[in-house]
Amino acid sequence: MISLLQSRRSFLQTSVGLAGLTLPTYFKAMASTTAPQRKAKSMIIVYTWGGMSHYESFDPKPEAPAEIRGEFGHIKTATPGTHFCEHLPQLAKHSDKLAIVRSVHHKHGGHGSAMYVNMTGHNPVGGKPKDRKNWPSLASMVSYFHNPAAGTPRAIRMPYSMFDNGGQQSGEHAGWMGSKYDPILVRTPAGEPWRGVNRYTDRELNLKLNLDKRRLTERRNLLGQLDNVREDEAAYEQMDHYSRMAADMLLGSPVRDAYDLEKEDPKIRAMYGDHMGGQSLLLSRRLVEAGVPVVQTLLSASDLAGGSGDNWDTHKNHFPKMKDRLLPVFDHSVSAFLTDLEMRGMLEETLVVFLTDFGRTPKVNGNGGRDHYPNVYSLAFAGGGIQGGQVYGSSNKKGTEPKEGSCSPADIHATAFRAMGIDHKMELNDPIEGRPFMLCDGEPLPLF
Amino acid sequence: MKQLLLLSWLASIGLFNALADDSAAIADIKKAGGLVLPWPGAENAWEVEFHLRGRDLKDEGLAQVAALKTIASLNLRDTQITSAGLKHLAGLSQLRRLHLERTAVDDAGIIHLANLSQLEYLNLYGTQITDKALEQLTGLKNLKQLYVWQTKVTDAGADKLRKARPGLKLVQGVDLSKIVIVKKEKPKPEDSLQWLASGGPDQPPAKSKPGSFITVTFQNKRNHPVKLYWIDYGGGKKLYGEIAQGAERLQNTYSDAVWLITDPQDKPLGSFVTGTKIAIAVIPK
Repeated sequence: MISLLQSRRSFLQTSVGLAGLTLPTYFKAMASTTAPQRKAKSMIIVYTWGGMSHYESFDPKPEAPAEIRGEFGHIKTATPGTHFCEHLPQLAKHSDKLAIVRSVHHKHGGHGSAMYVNMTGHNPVGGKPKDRKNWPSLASMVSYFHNPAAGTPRAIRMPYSMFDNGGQQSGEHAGWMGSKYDPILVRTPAGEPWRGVNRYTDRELNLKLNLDKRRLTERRNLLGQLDNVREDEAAYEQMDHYSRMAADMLLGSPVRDAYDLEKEDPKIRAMYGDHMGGQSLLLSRRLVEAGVPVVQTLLSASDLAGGSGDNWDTHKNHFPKMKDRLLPVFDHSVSAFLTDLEMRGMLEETLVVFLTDFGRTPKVNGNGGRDHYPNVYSLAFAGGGIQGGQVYGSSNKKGTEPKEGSCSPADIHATAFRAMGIDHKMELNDPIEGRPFMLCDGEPLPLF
Repeated sequence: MKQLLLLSWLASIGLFNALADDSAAIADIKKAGGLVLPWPGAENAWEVEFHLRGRDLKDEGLAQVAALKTIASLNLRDTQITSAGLKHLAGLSQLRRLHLERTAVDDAGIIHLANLSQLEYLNLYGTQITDKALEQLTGLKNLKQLYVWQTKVTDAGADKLRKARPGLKLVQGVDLSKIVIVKKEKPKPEDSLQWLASGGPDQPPAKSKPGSFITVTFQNKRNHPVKLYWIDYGGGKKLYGEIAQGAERLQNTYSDAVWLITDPQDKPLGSFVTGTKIAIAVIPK
């Protein structure tokens, strides 16, 4: 194992170019007059990596020909006239909390660029994952407008970064906003892991934010090292943003307690399901409760690896995989998550945004799969002042293109910004060259 | 001169004093660990929070908080306050949202809220309140949301309030006693896969076909470790791991999948073809 101090030092060496950056004081923060009266206090992004089929989730097409309709039926939801896929039976009962958008589309057929456009609301600029010329992720941009208590990160993401065939994809970092606004990656410490290739090779995870019992000794050593660092104030200040935050989390901030899922009521844990998907959503709730303004959860294995494993890139074997592995976890854990937020009185102050790469092709292919389809797909919101029990936009009868309310990922972002009380047209300047960037060029959807 | 007149006019209507009072009260709240934010949409109204940074707030501290008369939203979640402290809140006539969840508050405190006529949101989850508290809240005509999960409120008490106040959203939450924690058991094999020895009469298909999800437990009875390869949909070999001598491995797979077993030097020993049932696959001596 690389020691913590070594890994920190090597990071400092590589990040010298960034160390001098501070955001100019003219970065003006607060909300504009166009924002709604009450704003959500926190945001949780739930991302289904690989591209969740709109047909087998929020937009079933019972009247389409069999080769398009697919193998599954549809069921009624709590929202009159709205149907979900039959394998979302629990979530169907919570449709009163969901605003479904069935008319999103973009032009990117590859995972990397599709994820980028969903995550940042902008077209890719060709940068590597941590390249500062990239657009910031939605999590980074929203977290910029929050100043949580000391020791509380602005934004956390879990449990993995997104990879495609071994390559980490761009769109999950803070881009030109600077590393200070990179969401902090943590590994969910419990639950049956996603089957497939799960990479967590990011430098961040060398810090082993893991409460696994076998690692307790290791962790104690780590705490010792961090304590030593803390005694030396200057050295502590030298630590990069991420390491400092991680150290604070480990050394007694409320976030550390939130991270320890062993402290949660076992019945609540059972309600979410003993799966990393469920436990990640549970952890998201706990982190928001502890004051983390933005949390992003990847509800999938981390590497698509050609669609093998538990991710939503179902080119092969689509129906069994959806029915047996993916939809049950999604249905169970998201239902528990919405129930839990609601009964604690947190839902109306917590914006939940469901994102994915794209939809899947209308025709089932020769391998029993569906391929990439950005021409139309479904996303969803819950909480945060957005009215549940509604569907915005529609796709045509075969689910091949938007019919009404055609909209883009940028419009989804504008909606999220509005819910969070942020003027989406605000201009921020990148701290390197001072170029002005308008946060978002979409328009909010009328979901409030 | 005009400005002076305006100032004296302001002072005469008391607004000036009110503002001066506010800033002193706000400073006190901040000193006690509270966060004070302007309440959006109303002039001179405040949102005060103790749930993240001021959790050691006690009843005495609450008297100081209530000196700010124009609080519209107050969050006391996870603080040390009790029912006795709530008497200080009785004068917060503009209060619209009140978080008391996960505090020691019980019925005795709720009486102090009975005149908060502007109250729209009240969170009492994780407190000691009973049906009696709900009766005291019936008169709050503006109350739209009430949270009572993990309290002593009964279904009967909740139904009674719902009947009296049809427009109120009363959230009782899930009954945890009905959640059963199920320990996941290892899937029981229902089938035993046939060993197709390399070079033998029965040979597997050249590639796997998509099927339904199952698991297979491979048991290595050889006197040496073996390697486990999945033959993918294109006929390619994909290494999944090694199984030590005498060991077993639980493998997630699909039906109609071909699994190749080799020795450590990649010499093929034999194969299995999965069926639709959870199975055991014995690698013979």
